[in-house]
Amino acid sequence: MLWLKSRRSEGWGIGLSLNSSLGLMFRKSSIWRLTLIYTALSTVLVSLVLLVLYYFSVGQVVRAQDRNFYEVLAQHQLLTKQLSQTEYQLQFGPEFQLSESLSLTFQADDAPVDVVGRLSSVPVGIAMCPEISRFPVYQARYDDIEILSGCTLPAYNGRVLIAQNRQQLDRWIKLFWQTSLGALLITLVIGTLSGWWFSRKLIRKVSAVNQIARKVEDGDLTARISIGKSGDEFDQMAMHINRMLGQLEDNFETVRGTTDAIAHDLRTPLSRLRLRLEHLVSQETETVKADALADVLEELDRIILTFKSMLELTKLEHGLMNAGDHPVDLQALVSDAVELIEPLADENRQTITVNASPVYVQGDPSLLFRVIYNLLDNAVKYSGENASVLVELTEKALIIADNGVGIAEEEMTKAFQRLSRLDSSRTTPGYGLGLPVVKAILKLHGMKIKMLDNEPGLKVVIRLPRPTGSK
Amino acid sequence: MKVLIVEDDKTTRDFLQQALTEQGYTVETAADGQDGLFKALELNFDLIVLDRMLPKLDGLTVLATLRSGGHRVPVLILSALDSVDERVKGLKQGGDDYLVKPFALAELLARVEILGRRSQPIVAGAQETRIQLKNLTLDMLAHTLTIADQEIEIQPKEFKLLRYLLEHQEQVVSRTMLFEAVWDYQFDPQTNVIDVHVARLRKKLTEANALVEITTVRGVGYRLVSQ
Repeated sequence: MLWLKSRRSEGWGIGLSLNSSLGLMFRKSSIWRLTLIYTALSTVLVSLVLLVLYYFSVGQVVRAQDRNFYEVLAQHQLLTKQLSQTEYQLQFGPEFQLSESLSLTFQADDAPVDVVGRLSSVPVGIAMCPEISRFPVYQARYDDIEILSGCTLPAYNGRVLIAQNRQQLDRWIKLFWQTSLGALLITLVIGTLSGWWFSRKLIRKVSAVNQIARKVEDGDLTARISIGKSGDEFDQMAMHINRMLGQLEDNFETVRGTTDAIAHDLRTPLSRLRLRLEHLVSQETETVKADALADVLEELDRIILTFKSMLELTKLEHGLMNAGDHPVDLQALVSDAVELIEPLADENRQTITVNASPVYVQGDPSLLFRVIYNLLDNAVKYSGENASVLVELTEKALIIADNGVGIAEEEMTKAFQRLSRLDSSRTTPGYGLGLPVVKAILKLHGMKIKMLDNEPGLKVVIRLPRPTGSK
Repeated sequence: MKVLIVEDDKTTRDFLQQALTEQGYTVETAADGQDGLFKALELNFDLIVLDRMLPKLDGLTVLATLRSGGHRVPVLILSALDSVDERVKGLKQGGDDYLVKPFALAELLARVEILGRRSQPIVAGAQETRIQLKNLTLDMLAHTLTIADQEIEIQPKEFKLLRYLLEHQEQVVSRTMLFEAVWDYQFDPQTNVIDVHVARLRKKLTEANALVEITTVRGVGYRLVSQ
């Protein structure tokens, strides 16, 4: 039992280590594959260079000597047929003696001593032309042994030997190939090393991207690729991927925010509504009080309103609504909105001061009216009794400022997010969507909104686009 | 007064029929666009309540066909599409009013009543430059309000509000209708702001001893009545 268990756990251990090293193995194998390709390429390149070099240097000399040898060979082949032996010997005897680069020798078969030429005899076993044989010869002049290469031609009753000394050339050829081999070996070593280094660098960059991709796959949208300093294609790719991930994360946040908003803003009132109805049903009376039903109706109206705002916000945020291009008289909008809100401000003993110059923008008057009204409504609702509200409209901006309690700085940015209803306003239904709608409408019109501390109070600044010309 | 309801949802249709019948209208119904158009052309209605999205023939097509045939019957469009664009589209096709689903039945009844009146022969006073009711006179040219021979100071929006209420005296008008008539923006202020405006006007009238009263109709809006 114990034995089995341990064996089993061992198996698990192996399995796990295999899995975890799989990625590494893959990485290594790609490094080596790339290295191999790189090395092979450089080797082939160097070999090609060497071959070309050989062809035009040593090869050239070899070819010249060979040509010379075969020319002489062909000449003698012809002459031995056309001339009589005596003529041949007479004509070539001195030449045979004098020739430096070629060793020409004639030996008659029947008279082995009758030898004309450089060598004392024509050695036995020399191949017939054009097959070439190599044989040693003693050079009495230098007291040295030379290796000659040559062949024999049958002529008259003997053989003509044509041979040349290729020792020097052979040495050159040998030296050349030795050097070449060295060069190739160096290429191989350097190629492998640098190839491995480059591949590792490359694979590392790729696998960094892979790792992040896997993290994202596993649901971690905050993962980002570290970007190097060189700004090369890899860094650019990393930058683009990071930016893409950022957008993805934002979208996810939006979706999450929307679902949270639906959950919060609809579920809570829906469950309240359900409770109320359930309570009414459980009361065993035949008639239901109209008051109780009116409450239910009111609750339902709030749900409908919230639902409407959500739909609208989604439409606005995704650009499904058109701002239109009507010229809108902002001054008139401001005065209409102020007129609408004024009785409410009066109830709170607040004063609203308007300082507006004529400004025209392009857009949708109803949507823009809503923005102004919502902001005024917020100011009136949250600045407290006896506060004063200042509305200022210039070509550059629309400012709504109050001297009330204001909001904390960290809440200013939150205020424009969906459902981030501020603590102070948590009990006001629908407000959670008010400012996000305002922001979305302004974005649609190419305007920006900012909250500032009015010391004391809150200052909301809307930056207007460049005026389209006032009338 | 004869009303045609063109609506494909049976529950909505039945409720509308019942409510309008209770209000004293003669009601005819159609469940799709084709039937609706046929009935609208065949019979003489004072008002049509037309759903925007209908099977067989779209609501807007029905409306366009009616209008191109020279029918001037008032049409109230019901729609689940509530963007400003859609509203404009509906009104451009010849709709007289546009109500977004889900709506309050009372709101629909108020709008039906006002549209229905429009199709009646023009009542005296509608085109006049001044409206008079009991001891209250509203001068449209001079923009003045006189109550019991005393000129009362009135702000432009208050003037518009009172004018709308006077023009629709004895009728129920909803808060949205008041807002749209006085402010002319497509927007639901979502607060009691209209109530505050009406309360102000009401106070002004009472203080001046007007023999005219703005009464609150629960869950809907207001009605201006003479005492």
